[in-house]
Amino acid sequence: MSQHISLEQARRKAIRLLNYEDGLWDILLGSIFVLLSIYPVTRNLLGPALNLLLFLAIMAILIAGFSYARRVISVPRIGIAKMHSTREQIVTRVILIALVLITVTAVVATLLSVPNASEPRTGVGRGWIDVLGVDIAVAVVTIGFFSLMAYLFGITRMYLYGWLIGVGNLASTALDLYMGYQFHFPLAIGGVIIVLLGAIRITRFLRQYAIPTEEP
Amino acid sequence: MPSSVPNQEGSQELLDIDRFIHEPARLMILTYLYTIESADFVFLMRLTGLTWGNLSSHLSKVEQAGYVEIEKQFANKKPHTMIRLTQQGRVALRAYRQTMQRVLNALPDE
Repeated sequence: MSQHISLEQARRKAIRLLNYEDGLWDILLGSIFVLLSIYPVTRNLLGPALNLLLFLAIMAILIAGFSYARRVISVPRIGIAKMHSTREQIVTRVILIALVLITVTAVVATLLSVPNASEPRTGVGRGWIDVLGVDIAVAVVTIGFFSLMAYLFGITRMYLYGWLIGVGNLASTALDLYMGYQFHFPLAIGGVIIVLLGAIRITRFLRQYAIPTEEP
Repeated sequence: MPSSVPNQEGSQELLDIDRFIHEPARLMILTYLYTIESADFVFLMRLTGLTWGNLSSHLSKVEQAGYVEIEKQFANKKPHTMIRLTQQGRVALRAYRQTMQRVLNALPDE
């Protein structure tokens, strides 16, 4: 064992084991972005109100499934722990919540934007900053948010997720505006990659952590 | 004096080290418990990588020393053990770290 005792590394390891080791979070995240990638297609089929309702219902099912899977898969295998609430951790949490709120606001704004039939949103004939300025800002915030998470908790795959989602969303919007692709396949590819990485992780998790049978 | 031996001040610090905490498995258990509020037995076992029997044995010793509190509960009719570091354990680990840092700082460079 190393003689160097890093409490920060110990804390990060505890956070990783408690929240990100089982791959369920990855599957939930990837699924949400796959869902978002087909959102414009289903909006045209169902209309904005019904589509939003359907989207929220599927989101609720995904989150409920995630909580249930945590309870029956992860908790019996890795147990439970409560983390401290030090001042530094509270500040970190506040920053994370602020970034989550920014991202969620951007996503909701995108979901609620109803295309105007008389003036269709298109990028043809306009400057790219004018067309994609907001989407570039959203991409930067998304990459920043995931990079911060990766840095704070020592989860390197979060850097990849940030780029997959940030660039995927920007590319999807550009393809939609310039070429009329309603199915946001760059975002879908990113989401599918994240789901697959989560599936690999949960398979490894199940193999590595059997349910203990005894209790002292 | 060989170059790997700390100076006189460092040697005295070395003798003051809490040998009970210095044992690697116990040091690992206390370090992890220092960073979290409380954990159950399974979580601590996964975190430290110790076997069930080994962790159980070390936990009994650190509990007897007053460094941890072990609370046995029942969840869904199954026994459930929650472990937390006591204030005494927290102070002891902090003192151990400070002593170790002084000892390591007193070690001569290569």
